[in-house]
Amino acid sequence: MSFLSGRGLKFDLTMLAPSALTVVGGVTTLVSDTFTDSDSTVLSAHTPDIDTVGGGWTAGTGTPDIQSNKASSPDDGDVNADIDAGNANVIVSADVLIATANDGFIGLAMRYTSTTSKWSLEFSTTLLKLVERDTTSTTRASTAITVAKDAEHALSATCSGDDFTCTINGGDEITYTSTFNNSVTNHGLFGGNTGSTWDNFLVTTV
Amino acid sequence: MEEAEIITPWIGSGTDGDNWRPKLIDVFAVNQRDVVGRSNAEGLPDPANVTINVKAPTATIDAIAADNDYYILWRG
Repeated sequence: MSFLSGRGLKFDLTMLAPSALTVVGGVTTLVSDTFTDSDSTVLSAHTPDIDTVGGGWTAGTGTPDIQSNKASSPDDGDVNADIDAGNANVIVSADVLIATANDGFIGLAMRYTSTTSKWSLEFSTTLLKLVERDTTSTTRASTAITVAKDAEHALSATCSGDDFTCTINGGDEITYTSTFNNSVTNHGLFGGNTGSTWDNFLVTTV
Repeated sequence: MEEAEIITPWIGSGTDGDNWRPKLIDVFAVNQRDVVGRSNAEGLPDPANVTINVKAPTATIDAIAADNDYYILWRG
Protein backbone atom coordinates (compact mmCIF):
# COMPACT_ATOMS: atom_id res chain seq x y z
CA MET A 1 0.00 0.00 0.00
CA SER A 2 1.27 3.50 -0.78
CA PHE A 3 -0.10 7.00 -0.63
CA LEU A 4 0.87 10.52 -1.59
CA SER A 5 1.39 13.28 0.95
CA GLY A 6 0.05 16.77 0.39
CA ARG A 7 3.44 17.75 -1.01
CA GLY A 8 3.52 14.91 -3.50
CA LEU A 9 5.89 12.65 -1.54
CA LYS A 10 5.13 8.96 -2.00
CA PHE A 11 5.06 6.76 1.09
CA ASP A 12 5.16 2.98 0.80
CA LEU A 13 3.74 1.30 3.92
CA THR A 14 5.16 -2.07 2.85
CA MET A 15 8.56 -0.66 3.77
CA LEU A 16 7.60 -0.88 7.45
CA ALA A 17 8.79 -4.12 9.00
CA PRO A 18 6.33 -6.08 11.19
CA SER A 19 8.39 -5.13 14.26
CA ALA A 20 8.22 -1.40 13.48
CA LEU A 21 7.30 0.98 16.29
CA THR A 22 3.67 0.92 17.38
CA VAL A 23 2.46 4.45 18.06
CA VAL A 24 -0.89 5.01 19.79
CA GLY A 25 -1.96 8.51 20.79
CA GLY A 26 1.61 9.81 20.76
CA VAL A 27 2.84 6.97 23.01
CA THR A 28 5.26 4.55 21.39
CA THR A 29 5.35 0.89 22.39
CA LEU A 30 8.99 -0.12 22.71
CA VAL A 31 8.55 -3.64 24.12
CA SER A 32 5.45 -5.79 24.40
CA ASP A 33 5.28 -9.40 25.52
CA THR A 34 2.26 -11.59 26.22
CA PHE A 35 4.65 -14.53 26.77
CA THR A 36 2.84 -16.70 24.26
CA ASP A 37 5.08 -19.72 23.80
CA SER A 38 5.46 -23.39 24.66
CA ASP A 39 5.61 -24.36 28.32
CA SER A 40 9.13 -24.51 29.77
CA THR A 41 10.59 -22.17 27.14
CA VAL A 42 13.22 -20.20 29.02
CA LEU A 43 12.78 -16.45 28.67
CA SER A 44 16.15 -15.98 27.01
CA ALA A 45 14.99 -18.28 24.16
CA HIS A 46 11.61 -16.55 23.77
CA THR A 47 10.86 -13.81 21.21
CA PRO A 48 8.76 -10.89 22.53
CA ASP A 49 5.75 -9.67 20.50
CA ILE A 50 7.42 -6.26 20.03
CA ASP A 51 11.14 -5.73 20.62
CA THR A 52 12.18 -2.53 18.88
CA VAL A 53 15.87 -2.83 19.74
CA GLY A 54 15.81 -6.54 18.93
CA GLY A 55 18.11 -7.89 21.60
CA GLY A 56 15.55 -10.13 23.29
CA TRP A 57 15.47 -11.15 26.93
CA THR A 58 18.54 -11.74 29.10
CA ALA A 59 18.27 -13.62 32.38
CA GLY A 60 20.80 -12.31 34.89
CA THR A 61 19.82 -14.65 37.70
CA GLY A 62 17.21 -17.33 38.16
CA THR A 63 15.77 -19.24 35.23
CA PRO A 64 12.42 -17.67 34.45
CA ASP A 65 10.48 -19.68 31.91
CA ILE A 66 7.06 -19.68 30.32
CA GLN A 67 4.17 -21.64 31.81
CA SER A 68 0.61 -21.33 30.44
CA ASN A 69 1.62 -18.30 28.35
CA LYS A 70 2.99 -16.32 31.30
CA ALA A 71 6.54 -15.74 32.50
CA SER A 72 7.02 -17.73 35.68
CA SER A 73 9.15 -17.39 38.80
CA PRO A 74 10.34 -20.95 39.40
CA ASP A 75 11.19 -20.54 43.09
CA ASP A 76 11.88 -17.91 45.73
CA GLY A 77 15.37 -17.19 44.35
CA ASP A 78 15.56 -13.74 42.79
CA VAL A 79 14.76 -13.50 39.08
CA ASN A 80 16.51 -10.75 37.14
CA ALA A 81 15.47 -10.65 33.48
CA ASP A 82 15.96 -7.58 31.32
CA ILE A 83 15.45 -6.33 27.79
CA ASP A 84 16.80 -3.22 26.09
CA ALA A 85 13.94 -0.84 25.22
CA GLY A 86 16.24 1.84 23.80
CA ASN A 87 14.79 4.54 26.07
CA ALA A 88 15.28 5.43 29.75
CA ASN A 89 12.14 7.57 29.98
CA VAL A 90 9.43 4.96 29.93
CA ILE A 91 6.37 3.45 31.54
CA VAL A 92 7.09 -0.18 32.49
CA SER A 93 4.04 -2.25 33.35
CA ALA A 94 2.81 -5.84 33.69
CA ASP A 95 0.05 -7.91 35.23
CA VAL A 96 1.77 -9.72 38.08
CA LEU A 97 0.34 -12.62 40.05
CA ILE A 98 1.71 -13.12 43.56
CA ALA A 99 1.34 -16.77 44.51
CA THR A 100 2.68 -16.98 48.03
CA ALA A 101 1.81 -14.58 50.84
CA ASN A 102 4.86 -14.99 53.09
CA ASP A 103 7.53 -15.51 50.43
CA GLY A 104 9.68 -13.00 48.55
CA PHE A 105 8.62 -9.83 46.77
CA ILE A 106 7.79 -9.85 43.05
CA GLY A 107 7.69 -7.07 40.47
CA LEU A 108 9.44 -5.10 37.73
CA ALA A 109 12.98 -3.93 37.04
CA MET A 110 13.68 -0.46 35.69
CA ARG A 111 16.88 1.15 34.45
CA TYR A 112 18.69 -2.16 34.85
CA THR A 113 22.46 -2.37 34.30
CA SER A 114 23.17 -5.56 36.25
CA THR A 115 21.84 -7.60 39.16
CA THR A 116 23.58 -5.13 41.49
CA SER A 117 22.73 -1.89 39.63
CA LYS A 118 19.03 -1.29 38.99
CA TRP A 119 15.70 -0.03 40.26
CA SER A 120 12.83 -2.37 41.10
CA LEU A 121 9.16 -1.95 41.91
CA GLU A 122 8.15 -4.84 44.12
CA PHE A 123 5.14 -5.93 46.10
CA SER A 124 3.98 -8.47 48.65
CA THR A 125 0.40 -8.84 49.82
CA THR A 126 0.98 -6.01 52.32
CA LEU A 127 3.65 -3.64 50.88
CA LEU A 128 4.48 -1.89 47.59
CA LYS A 129 8.05 -0.59 47.46
CA LEU A 130 10.53 1.11 45.12
CA VAL A 131 14.02 -0.27 45.65
CA GLU A 132 17.36 1.15 44.51
CA ARG A 133 20.09 -1.45 44.03
CA ASP A 134 23.40 0.44 43.95
CA THR A 135 25.71 -2.34 45.19
CA THR A 136 23.41 -2.74 48.21
CA SER A 137 19.59 -2.62 48.11
CA THR A 138 17.65 0.22 49.73
CA THR A 139 13.90 0.78 49.95
CA ARG A 140 13.52 4.40 48.83
CA ALA A 141 9.73 4.68 48.91
CA SER A 142 6.88 2.42 49.94
CA THR A 143 3.23 2.22 50.88
CA ALA A 144 1.20 -0.23 52.89
CA ILE A 145 -1.27 -2.15 50.71
CA THR A 146 -3.69 -5.03 50.99
CA VAL A 147 -3.86 -7.21 47.88
CA ALA A 148 -4.96 -10.80 47.36
CA LYS A 149 -2.56 -13.59 46.55
CA ASP A 150 -3.32 -15.90 43.61
CA ALA A 151 -4.60 -12.87 41.69
CA GLU A 152 -3.03 -10.67 39.01
CA HIS A 153 -2.29 -7.07 39.91
CA ALA A 154 -1.49 -4.27 37.45
CA LEU A 155 1.95 -2.93 38.31
CA SER A 156 3.20 0.30 36.69
CA ALA A 157 6.39 2.33 37.02
CA THR A 158 6.72 5.66 35.22
CA CYS A 159 10.37 6.69 34.89
CA SER A 160 10.64 10.26 33.61
CA GLY A 161 13.94 12.09 33.97
CA ASP A 162 14.85 11.78 37.65
CA ASP A 163 11.26 11.11 38.75
CA PHE A 164 9.55 7.80 39.52
CA THR A 165 5.78 7.43 39.91
CA CYS A 166 4.65 3.92 40.73
CA THR A 167 1.22 2.36 41.24
CA ILE A 168 -0.51 -0.95 41.78
CA ASN A 169 -3.95 -1.48 40.25
CA GLY A 170 -3.93 2.22 39.33
CA GLY A 171 -3.64 3.47 42.93
CA ASP A 172 -1.50 3.37 46.09
CA GLU A 173 0.93 5.74 44.38
CA ILE A 174 4.53 6.08 45.55
CA THR A 175 6.98 8.65 44.21
CA TYR A 176 10.70 9.24 44.41
CA THR A 177 13.36 11.38 42.73
CA SER A 178 16.92 10.24 41.95
CA THR A 179 19.58 10.62 39.28
CA PHE A 180 20.83 7.03 39.76
CA ASN A 181 20.90 5.09 36.44
CA ASN A 182 18.71 7.78 34.84
CA SER A 183 20.03 7.10 31.32
CA VAL A 184 19.87 3.30 31.43
CA THR A 185 17.52 1.83 28.80
CA ASN A 186 17.10 -1.77 30.00
CA HIS A 187 13.99 -2.78 31.95
CA GLY A 188 12.37 -6.08 32.86
CA LEU A 189 11.21 -8.54 35.50
CA PHE A 190 12.45 -8.85 39.05
CA GLY A 191 11.65 -10.80 42.18
CA GLY A 192 11.38 -14.19 43.76
CA ASN A 193 8.05 -15.58 44.87
CA THR A 194 7.43 -19.25 44.20
CA GLY A 195 4.84 -19.83 41.48
CA SER A 196 4.33 -16.13 40.73
CA THR A 197 3.83 -15.00 37.12
CA TRP A 198 4.12 -11.97 34.84
CA ASP A 199 1.85 -11.28 31.88
CA ASN A 200 1.27 -8.44 29.39
CA PHE A 201 4.71 -6.90 29.95
CA LEU A 202 4.83 -3.49 28.28
CA VAL A 203 7.37 -0.71 27.91
CA THR A 204 6.15 2.49 26.30
CA THR A 205 7.48 6.00 26.00
CA VAL A 206 6.23 8.41 28.66
CA MET B 1 -4.58 11.84 56.40
CA GLU B 2 -1.60 13.73 57.79
CA GLU B 3 1.93 14.41 56.51
CA ALA B 4 5.06 14.33 58.67
CA GLU B 5 8.85 14.14 58.47
CA ILE B 6 10.21 11.51 60.79
CA ILE B 7 13.64 10.25 61.81
CA THR B 8 13.72 6.44 61.93
CA PRO B 9 16.51 3.86 62.35
CA TRP B 10 17.54 1.79 59.33
CA ILE B 11 16.91 -1.94 59.44
CA GLY B 12 17.98 -4.76 57.09
CA SER B 13 21.22 -6.00 55.54
CA GLY B 14 21.22 -4.43 52.07
CA THR B 15 20.44 -7.59 50.09
CA ASP B 16 17.63 -8.01 47.54
CA GLY B 17 15.66 -10.06 50.06
CA ASP B 18 16.43 -7.87 53.07
CA ASN B 19 16.80 -4.27 51.79
CA TRP B 20 18.08 -1.44 53.91
CA ARG B 21 14.76 0.15 54.85
CA PRO B 22 13.30 2.52 57.42
CA LYS B 23 12.46 0.46 60.51
CA LEU B 24 9.19 2.39 60.76
CA ILE B 25 7.70 0.64 57.70
CA ASP B 26 8.03 -2.75 59.38
CA VAL B 27 5.91 -1.49 62.28
CA PHE B 28 3.41 1.05 60.90
CA ALA B 29 1.20 1.06 57.77
CA VAL B 30 2.26 4.29 56.03
CA ASN B 31 3.10 5.82 52.65
CA GLN B 32 6.68 7.11 52.79
CA ARG B 33 9.74 8.19 50.85
CA ASP B 34 13.37 8.73 51.81
CA VAL B 35 14.11 12.49 51.81
CA VAL B 36 17.89 12.07 52.35
CA GLY B 37 18.88 9.72 49.51
CA ARG B 38 22.20 8.75 51.08
CA SER B 39 23.97 6.33 48.74
CA ASN B 40 26.00 3.20 49.33
CA ALA B 41 29.11 5.14 48.24
CA GLU B 42 28.36 7.75 50.91
CA GLY B 43 28.38 5.09 53.62
CA LEU B 44 24.75 4.03 53.87
CA PRO B 45 23.46 2.85 56.36
CA ASP B 46 25.72 5.13 58.43
CA PRO B 47 24.52 7.25 60.11
CA ALA B 48 22.14 4.74 61.59
CA ASN B 49 19.02 6.85 61.01
CA VAL B 50 17.20 8.22 57.98
CA THR B 51 14.61 10.98 57.58
CA ILE B 52 11.44 10.02 55.71
CA ASN B 53 8.39 11.91 54.52
CA VAL B 54 5.30 10.06 55.74
CA LYS B 55 1.61 10.23 54.85
CA ALA B 56 -0.67 8.35 57.23
CA PRO B 57 -3.88 8.71 59.24
CA THR B 58 -3.59 11.02 62.27
CA ALA B 59 -4.01 8.07 64.63
CA THR B 60 -0.97 6.40 63.04
CA ILE B 61 1.14 9.56 63.36
CA ASP B 62 0.02 9.78 67.01
CA ALA B 63 1.17 6.19 67.57
CA ILE B 64 4.53 6.90 65.92
CA ALA B 65 4.93 9.99 68.15
CA ALA B 66 4.39 7.81 71.19
CA ASP B 67 7.13 5.35 70.14
CA ASN B 68 10.63 6.32 71.30
CA ASP B 69 12.25 4.59 68.31
CA TYR B 70 11.13 7.52 66.10
CA TYR B 71 11.38 11.30 66.23
CA ILE B 72 8.89 13.54 64.44
CA LEU B 73 10.53 16.67 62.99
CA TRP B 74 7.21 18.19 61.92
CA ARG B 75 3.66 17.13 61.22
CA GLY B 76 0.61 18.79 59.80
